[in-house]
Amino acid sequence: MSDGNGGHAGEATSLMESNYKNASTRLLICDPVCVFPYGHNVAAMENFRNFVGKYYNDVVCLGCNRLPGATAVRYGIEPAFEYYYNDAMPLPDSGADSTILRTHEQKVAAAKLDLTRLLERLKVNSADTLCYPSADFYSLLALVEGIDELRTAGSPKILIRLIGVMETASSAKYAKPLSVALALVNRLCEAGLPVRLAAETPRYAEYLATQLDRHVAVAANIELREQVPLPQSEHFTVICPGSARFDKGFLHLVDLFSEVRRRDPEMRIRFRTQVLPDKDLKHQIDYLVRLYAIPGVTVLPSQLPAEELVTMYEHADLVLLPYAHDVYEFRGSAVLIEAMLSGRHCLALDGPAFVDQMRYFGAGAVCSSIEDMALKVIAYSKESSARRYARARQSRNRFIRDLAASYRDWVI
Amino acid sequence: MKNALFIDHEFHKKTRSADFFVDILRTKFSVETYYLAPELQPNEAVLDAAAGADVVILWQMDFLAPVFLSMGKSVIVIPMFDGSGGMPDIHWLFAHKARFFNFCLALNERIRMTGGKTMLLRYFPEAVEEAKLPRFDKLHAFFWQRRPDHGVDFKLVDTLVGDELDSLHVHDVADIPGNYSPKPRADATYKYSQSTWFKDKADYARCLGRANVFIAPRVAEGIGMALLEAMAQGKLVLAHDAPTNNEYVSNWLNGILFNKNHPGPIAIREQAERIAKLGWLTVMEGRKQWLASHSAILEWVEGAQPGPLIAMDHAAFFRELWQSYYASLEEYVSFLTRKLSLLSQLSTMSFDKLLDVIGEAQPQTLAVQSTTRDCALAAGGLLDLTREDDRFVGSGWSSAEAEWRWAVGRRAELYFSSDDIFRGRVKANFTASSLPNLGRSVQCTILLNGQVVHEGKVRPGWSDYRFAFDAELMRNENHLVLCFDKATTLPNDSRMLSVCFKRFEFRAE
Repeated sequence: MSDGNGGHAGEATSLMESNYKNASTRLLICDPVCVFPYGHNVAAMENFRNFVGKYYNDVVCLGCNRLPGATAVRYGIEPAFEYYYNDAMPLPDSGADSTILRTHEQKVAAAKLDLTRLLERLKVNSADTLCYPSADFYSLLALVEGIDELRTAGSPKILIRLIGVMETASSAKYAKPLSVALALVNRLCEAGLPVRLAAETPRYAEYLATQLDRHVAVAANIELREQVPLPQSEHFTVICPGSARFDKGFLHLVDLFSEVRRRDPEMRIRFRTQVLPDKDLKHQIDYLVRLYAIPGVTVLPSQLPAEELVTMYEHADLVLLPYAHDVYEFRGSAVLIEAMLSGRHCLALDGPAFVDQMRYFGAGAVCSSIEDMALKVIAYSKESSARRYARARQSRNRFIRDLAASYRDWVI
Repeated sequence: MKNALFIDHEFHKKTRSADFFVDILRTKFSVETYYLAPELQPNEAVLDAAAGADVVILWQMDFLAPVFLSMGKSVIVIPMFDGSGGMPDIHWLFAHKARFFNFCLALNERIRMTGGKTMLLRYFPEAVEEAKLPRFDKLHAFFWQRRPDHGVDFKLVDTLVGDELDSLHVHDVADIPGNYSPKPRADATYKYSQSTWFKDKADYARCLGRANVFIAPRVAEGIGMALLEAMAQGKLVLAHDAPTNNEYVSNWLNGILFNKNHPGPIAIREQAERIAKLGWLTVMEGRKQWLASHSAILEWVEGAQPGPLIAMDHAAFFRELWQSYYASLEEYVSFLTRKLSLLSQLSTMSFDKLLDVIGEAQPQTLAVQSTTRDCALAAGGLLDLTREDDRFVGSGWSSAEAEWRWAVGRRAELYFSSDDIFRGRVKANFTASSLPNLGRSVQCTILLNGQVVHEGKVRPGWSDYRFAFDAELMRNENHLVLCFDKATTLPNDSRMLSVCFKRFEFRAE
């Protein structure tokens, strides 16, 4: 699986091989938000199975019981959790579903019940590890509520990875949900359970370590894809992958693309972007029309199959991340990691936490404004593809080695 | 070769503006074109023509889709923004089983979001060679005053670019009757010329060809052929900011958009050449994509599924639909609303869902039963139906009496939650008595959260009845439905009574 340039997809996982594994260890990957057949959660489950699962003899993936059956079977994900987050991320046609959990109290009770059943059904014991790849609010609450049951089960190891998203999804019960989430983590640690913490970005890890006064490892998004050759085309293709959202800079795109078009009237640079989901798009049709009218812009649906997203990277020269600095103050970016592994550099507005990683790994350039981003798109388009490929390869290789080391720090 | 019936507006017989699309269809289908004239009575012969067609294609006449769908035909609808951009949801629902092509993004999204299956298309004509692009050392504008009644008239053009032009030619042939003759300013600095007819198309083309600035003549377009032809010839185009003009023109990049309601002078001289060049490039690139899309267009047509053949008087429906449509929008919507039962056959949506659409149902944020109910079981898992409050009680119950509560009718509902976590099996029992007047027993079926957990007879006189179920069935809040096979009134009680209950109890097995 070598790409012939020093990168090696198996390298990351081989670096994880260790004497840690023994005959009786089992990894239980728990993600109650693994509920949609699209998006990152199913892919993340698979990546955790392969990457973290290397440490264990057995891996059990546990997702939401609302995950479509075909997807669950295909990816080997067992239903284990009610869906606690329909208010934040509604399931299709769930408005009239009276069995959906709606109140905070219902969710607390359901999460506790789910954990208790899980411990019993799987006969969890001290040789097991419960791993929360992107810990969510109600799972943290359930763990605290279930401290006695966890002790009874032999105090299994608990890996908690915080990514700055679902750990604060408290159904608007708390004005400061992160304070509650941190208090819950503290309670778990104080109860003497073997808890290992990680955060998606170095900045968030530092913040959490300070707040909790505990060690917090850094565990970036796991990606194992191969670096792909840059496209051989007369055009320079710039993409904005992932479902476009307001906090991912959708409303910057017209200004950005227009500015580039003014500076590139020969239309050598092309843009491909996804658009807002329908619930938001219906209020932004005028903006969509403006985006669509810009010469050289291809507008794609808000949801694309995973295979098409992969193809999108293959056909791209550069990836844009004009994300909101406040929303992403502590957050990582799956798109950044996917781009890095695919061998594509990124441009991001300054501010988000993932920008620290981008700088550290040399995975792209940081922009001070949309105008600056437009100038940098032009500058990148003038670099030779050989040079861009070599730089991307160096970023990728450094990231892979770092990823292996940081997960080792967390898991072992 | 399959037969396609292409139904178009009589007006296009003269303009031939749909020919480019029909030519694509002819590569795969045997196409018969049928023109309908709105000002005339409905021509029912079109139904006979459709009888032999494998697919019916409606160019602009989108309102006719239900006629051909109900004949069991595959139907392709190609609506235009200028004609159908403001149609209500119910209009699109009647064509729910058709497939759409849209040349307008805004309309495409509108139809897609109402559940329509639609393919977005972008037409571009052939562009001239680069060597034939016009020069911009002087600015010569062409304006066809087609719809001055809509506000795009000579006066507007003069306000927008009058001070920038070296010459302006107005083709003063309005689509509607009336006196809109341009009155050039005495102090205008440009050379003014005017035409009211051309001997032939070549004359028109020569006059247009002398211009390097083109003002789009209409407020909104279905496709915008004239604008696109001008871009293809390398002219600077100006257009009112509305679909589809603004879907081809990105303001100050490849054309200029104005607002006819707030006009002001636009300085175009410095940037005209740059903008026009990008307009031309837009067409060059777009043309490649348009040609590449032809196979997908044909596949989309071939993939259309027949509508449900509905036994009805299709000719009568066609006549009534036609007349209501051309009477007024209000009458048309009223007619469609009266045909909801037909619509439920023509669409895949349930009648309830159709009512939601017609009535513009507002989103219900919370399910009341699961948010307001305090229905925790008492100690020992007791659900006491003799309590005066109705915390457990849903529909189908009498008020609590001293020692029991009657189920009224054949179905009664209970809700309960529990602080206890049940595992394994749950044992339940209830105390009940059937109404003696109903005979030896009443058949009672109990469903918990949609699953049958008990089926048995309840007899007259107080007795305890037991059943058990898997704890996995329990949720945070539980819905218990009790169904009875009979109920009756009493001489002195008009309620439909079946079984009365004292309590339910739930315990871990």
